[in-house]
Amino acid sequence: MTELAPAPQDAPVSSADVLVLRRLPGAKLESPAIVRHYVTCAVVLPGRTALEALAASLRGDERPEPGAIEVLGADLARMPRVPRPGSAPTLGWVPQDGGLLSNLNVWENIALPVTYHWPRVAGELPSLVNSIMERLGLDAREICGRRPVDLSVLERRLVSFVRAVAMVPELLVLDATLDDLEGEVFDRAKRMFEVFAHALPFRHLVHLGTRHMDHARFGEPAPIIVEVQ
Amino acid sequence: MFTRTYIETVPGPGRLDRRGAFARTWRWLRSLALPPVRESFLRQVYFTAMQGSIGILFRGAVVGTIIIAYMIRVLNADVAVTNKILLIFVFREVGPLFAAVLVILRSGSAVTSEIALMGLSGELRTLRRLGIRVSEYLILPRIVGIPFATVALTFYFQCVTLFGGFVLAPLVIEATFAQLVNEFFATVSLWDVGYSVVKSLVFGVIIALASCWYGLRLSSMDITAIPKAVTRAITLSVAYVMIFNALFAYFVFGVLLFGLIRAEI
Repeated sequence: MTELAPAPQDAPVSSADVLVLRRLPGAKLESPAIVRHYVTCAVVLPGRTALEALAASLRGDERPEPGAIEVLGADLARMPRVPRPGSAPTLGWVPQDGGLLSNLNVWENIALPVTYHWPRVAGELPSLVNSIMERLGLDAREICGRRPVDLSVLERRLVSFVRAVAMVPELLVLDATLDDLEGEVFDRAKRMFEVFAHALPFRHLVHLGTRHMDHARFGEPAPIIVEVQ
Repeated sequence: MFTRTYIETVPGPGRLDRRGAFARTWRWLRSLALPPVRESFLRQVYFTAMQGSIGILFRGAVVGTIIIAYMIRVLNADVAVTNKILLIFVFREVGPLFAAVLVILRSGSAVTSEIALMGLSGELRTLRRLGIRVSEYLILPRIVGIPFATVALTFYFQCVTLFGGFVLAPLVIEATFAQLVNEFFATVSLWDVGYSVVKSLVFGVIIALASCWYGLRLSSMDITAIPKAVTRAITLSVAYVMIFNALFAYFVFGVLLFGLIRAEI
């Protein structure tokens, strides 16, 4: 059983390297985890690995019990995927396989949620997507007409990241997005963190990994890395 | 990177909408104005009506000429009987039915397999995670688009078949093309046009509902579920279309089973 060190009360908040959850009294992690700053975790269900349940909840595969997990002051069980009037902060999600629709090309995949929810800002999307892709090392003109089946593993994840960022989430979850990547490909994928910090400096990012990742791999500033065993 | 307008467009806290079923249905229909839903609707109409029209052209010409010529010959028809055959048989009954069968075989099967595949590959889950309602993005364009396309195909079939009949009939009976055309347009009424339009619309709705229903409800999460879903969708679409066809004729014109049963009108 691993216990987390209590969070320092005066530690500075930085959007790219902290996941803020409310600590439940007496909460303990039941699996090994690497944490750096003042993250607190909640035990979701008795006997379950907190991080596994958290990961499943953040992915949307499971609904935690109301009140079991609180994220950014909101109940995770009620956290919407899209901002709606009267709703809590929103959750963005980048899956490991990209989660792109196979019958749409890259541009249509990126534009779909934005034009669906906020058609008024659709006109600004091309320049936004262009600048994000440039920072990620993608050629927007070359890639936007391609179908997901023609993309590499990294390209699918990066496109999915662009789509998620365009939705302006309060909390963006990278679901094992850096797994199975090595060398130069891994370095390119890591750019997602700096792009997110630049594009949405007052929002939060978390990476759910299935491998041990330490600061030496990520460099500074490093995101909080929550391992799912 | 993000402009102020972009960030501020994201709706902030406000009153939740709690209106009733009618308002929710109206809002559901209004989502056709959303760009991706509208695009999906136009794509569906194009696939069903435009691409389906090529098949109608040849098949309609064959049906129109061969069957009509045969019936005129067998019944030893004159202008009036020929006109009745064209109006009742082709315009009212065969036209909408033929278009419906074509739509079932082409679009119905395609819609079912597309939605089923999206379910199997996790794309439906992706849509839900993006906050996109499957009922708005996938179902609504089909429920509105397929009926429109069916009406268009019906009209196209009627035109091709009637034209074929008008061209061929003078070779079999003593009548000119102009006589037949004038007689037909003197006989056909708005009632007949409305009858075929309403039938086509309802056929289209039946086909769209059946295709989407079985596409969304797979018997299992493996690849064999797709052909099963397609088969069920096609079979039930044909059955419901035939049932509605019979009942509608009974209620409108008072005849069932081609005149074997008559209604008290």
